[in-house]
Amino acid sequence: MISLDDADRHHRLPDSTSAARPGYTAEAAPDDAALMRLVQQGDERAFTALYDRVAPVLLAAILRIVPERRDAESILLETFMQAWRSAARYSEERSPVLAWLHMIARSRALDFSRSSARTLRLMPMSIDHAPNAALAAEGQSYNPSRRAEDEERGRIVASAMSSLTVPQRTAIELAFFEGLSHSEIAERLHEPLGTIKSRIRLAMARLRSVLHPSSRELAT
Amino acid sequence: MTSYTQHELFDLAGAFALGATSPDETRAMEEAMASSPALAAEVLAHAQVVADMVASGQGVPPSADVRDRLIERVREEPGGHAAAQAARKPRRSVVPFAAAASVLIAAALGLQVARMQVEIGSVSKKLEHREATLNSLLHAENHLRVIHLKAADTVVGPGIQFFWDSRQRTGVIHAFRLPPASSGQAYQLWAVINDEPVSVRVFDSDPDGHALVEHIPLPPSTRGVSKLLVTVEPRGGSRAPTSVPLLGGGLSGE
Repeated sequence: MISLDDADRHHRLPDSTSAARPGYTAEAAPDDAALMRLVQQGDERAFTALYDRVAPVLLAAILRIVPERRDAESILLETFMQAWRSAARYSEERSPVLAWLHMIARSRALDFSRSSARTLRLMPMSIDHAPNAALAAEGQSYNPSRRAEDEERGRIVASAMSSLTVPQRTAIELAFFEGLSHSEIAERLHEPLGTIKSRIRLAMARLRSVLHPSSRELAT
Repeated sequence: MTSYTQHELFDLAGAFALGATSPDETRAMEEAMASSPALAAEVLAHAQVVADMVASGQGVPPSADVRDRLIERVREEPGGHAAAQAARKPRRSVVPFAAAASVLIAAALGLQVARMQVEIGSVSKKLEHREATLNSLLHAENHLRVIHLKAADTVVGPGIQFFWDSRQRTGVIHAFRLPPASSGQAYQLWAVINDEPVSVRVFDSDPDGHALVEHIPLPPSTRGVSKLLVTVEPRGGSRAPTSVPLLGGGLSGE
C-alpha cells in the first residue's frame, strides 16, 4: 500500500509513459516534430496535417496583433508559405516547431502592423483573457479531443503564469502578446533596461521550472 | 557588434526565445549558438516554454478557404520545395516485367486496402463517439466536476480529465497522451477515500494515446475523496495499488 505522501511525491513520474517508449508518439499520432521532418522531405500531406494542427493557435496569436480577421488570415497563409519554403532550415535542436512557426507569424504580423500604420488593438492582453470566444465562434469548430487537451494545457500555463510576480508577468505579456523587445518594454514601463532584462530572465526561468520541472538546468 | 560574455548570453536565452532581444543581441545569440551546444540547449528549453504559451491560447480556426489557398499555393510554388521537386522528377520509364509485377502487387494491395477500410470504419465510429461524448461533457452544467490528473511533465506528459457527474452518479475518464500499457498490464484508477485507495476502474488507452471510459458508477458526492490516482497494474487490476502512481490529482475543497 502506498502512503499519500508517496503518492504526492511519485505522481510526478514521467518515465514509464511516452518518454520510455521512443517512437510511440510518432507512430501512432505524429507529433509536430515528426510532421516537420516529413515536411522537410517535401511531404505535402504532412504539411497540411501540421497546418490543421497548429493554424488555430497561430491565428489566435496573429489576431492579437492584427485584429482584422482577413488580414490575419493572409498573414497566416504567408507564414505557412514561408515555413514551406524554408523548411530545410528548421532545426528541432534549436526550437520546437510551434515556437518556430510562432516566431515567423509574429514577425510578419508586427511587420504588417507597423508598415500599414494601423492602430494596434491593445486590448487588455493577458494569458487569462487571450481566448477570444467571439473570434473562436466565427470559425469552424474543431476537434473536441484536441479542444479538451488545449483547455487542459491552457489551464496549466495560466497557472504557471499566475506564479509570476505582477511586474514579471507584465514584462512577459508585453513581449509575448505585443512583440516588444526588452528595450521597448523598458520604454513603455519607464523602467531601467537592466530591470526589465532581469524580470524577463527570472520569469522565463520560473515558467520553465513550473512547466518542465524535469528539464535540466545547464550550468553557465 | 557588441561582444558578450558566455554568462551574458545564457542570461539572454529566455528573452531570445521570446523574441525580445535587440537586433545586436539576436545576432550575437545566433552566432554563439552555432558553436555552443549548451547555449542552443538552453534556448531550446526556453523555446519550449514559448511553444507552451502559444499552444495554451484558445485557437481560432481559420476559414476553410485559407487551407485551400495554401494547398493551391504550395502546388503552384515556382521552384517549389526542393525536396518535393526532387520527388516529382520524372523517373526512367519502367520495363514491361515491372509493369506486370505491379499488377500483381496492386491486386495484393487491393485486398490489404479493403481490410484497412474496414478497420478505418471502425476507428472512425469510435472517434465520432468519443468526440460526441466529449462535446456533451464540455457543455455540461454545474453538476459536473472535472478532476485533472497530471504527471511530472504537465504540458507534454500524459493527462487525464475525470468528469464526476453527481446527478447521474457516474464518471467518465478521458485520458490523453497516455500510451497503451505494456503487455499484461493495464491502468487502474483509484479514488483515495478517507485516506484509503478504492479501485474505480481498470482501463487501457488506444494506440493514439487516448482513452474514453464512460458509465463508471460513483457515489453521488465527492465528499471524503481527497484525490484520484492512476497506477500501472496487472491486466485484471489489483485490490490495492502495487506500483507508484503515474498520475494524480487532488480534489480541493472537499
